[in-house]
Amino acid sequence: MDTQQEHSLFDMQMDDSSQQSLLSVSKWAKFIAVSGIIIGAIALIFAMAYGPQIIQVFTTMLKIGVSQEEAGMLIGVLVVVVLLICGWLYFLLRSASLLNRGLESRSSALLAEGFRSMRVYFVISFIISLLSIISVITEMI
Amino acid sequence: MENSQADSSLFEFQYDEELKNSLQGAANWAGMAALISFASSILGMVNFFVQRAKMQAIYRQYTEYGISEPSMGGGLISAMISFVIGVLLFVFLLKFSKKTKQGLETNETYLISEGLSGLSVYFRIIGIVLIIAIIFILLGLLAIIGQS
Repeated sequence: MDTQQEHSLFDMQMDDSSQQSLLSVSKWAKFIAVSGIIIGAIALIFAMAYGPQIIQVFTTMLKIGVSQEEAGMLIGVLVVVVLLICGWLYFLLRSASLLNRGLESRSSALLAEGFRSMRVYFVISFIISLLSIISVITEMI
Repeated sequence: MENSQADSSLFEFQYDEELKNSLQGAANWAGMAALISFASSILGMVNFFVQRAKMQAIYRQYTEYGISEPSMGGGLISAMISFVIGVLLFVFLLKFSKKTKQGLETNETYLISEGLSGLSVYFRIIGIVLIIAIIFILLGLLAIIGQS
């Protein structure tokens, strides 16, 4: 029975429609990741240019009653969110690149590596959505 | 010439054990990400109405001082658009997850193909939304530059 199953694995071939879909996934994923990186870089440049004003906002927050611990927590949350988004974009770009290379070189090993990166991308998406739910519930309470 | 070369390559591509495992892993997590992001969209919509009710209550307290309640129609429209996009992303990501897992379990390649087409639509929707967002950001920047 095992032999029969192993045999059927090798009979499974990727059809034209699947390859076209994967090519489309790779192109759009690359576009999303590259756009995200460019937008992130522009946001970083703006943040650096308006650094003193951002520090002033935090100083004002401390003055109007936000404790140092709360301000520190806010900065901590911001850093975690930025790191998650960086990881999210990195794995999306890696997945897009590996899927494209896998299709071009007809290598199922590269495709497998691409899907592994995509799995990490979905794990990070899951964490971001979970954090968003926690944030909404906190806002509602 | 290019097409015939591509066609001949189609039949050389096979789902080996490694590819099947990685595809299964991606499909499993895609399903979980789809469900939690859908829950997040619903909660976001509920939160919009909760916050709107709170704002309306605050403005009612100040009506005697002549402060009128601002229109919140724009907020409702953007919340609805976000919700619709969230639902569409959920549908296509879940399609990828379910069909791909079914295809891998039953060894039916057409199911995997349907799943991958769902994944393709999912990324296309994100890409189109991103293009629209970039256009709005650029228009906003142009307006700011025009004013100054």
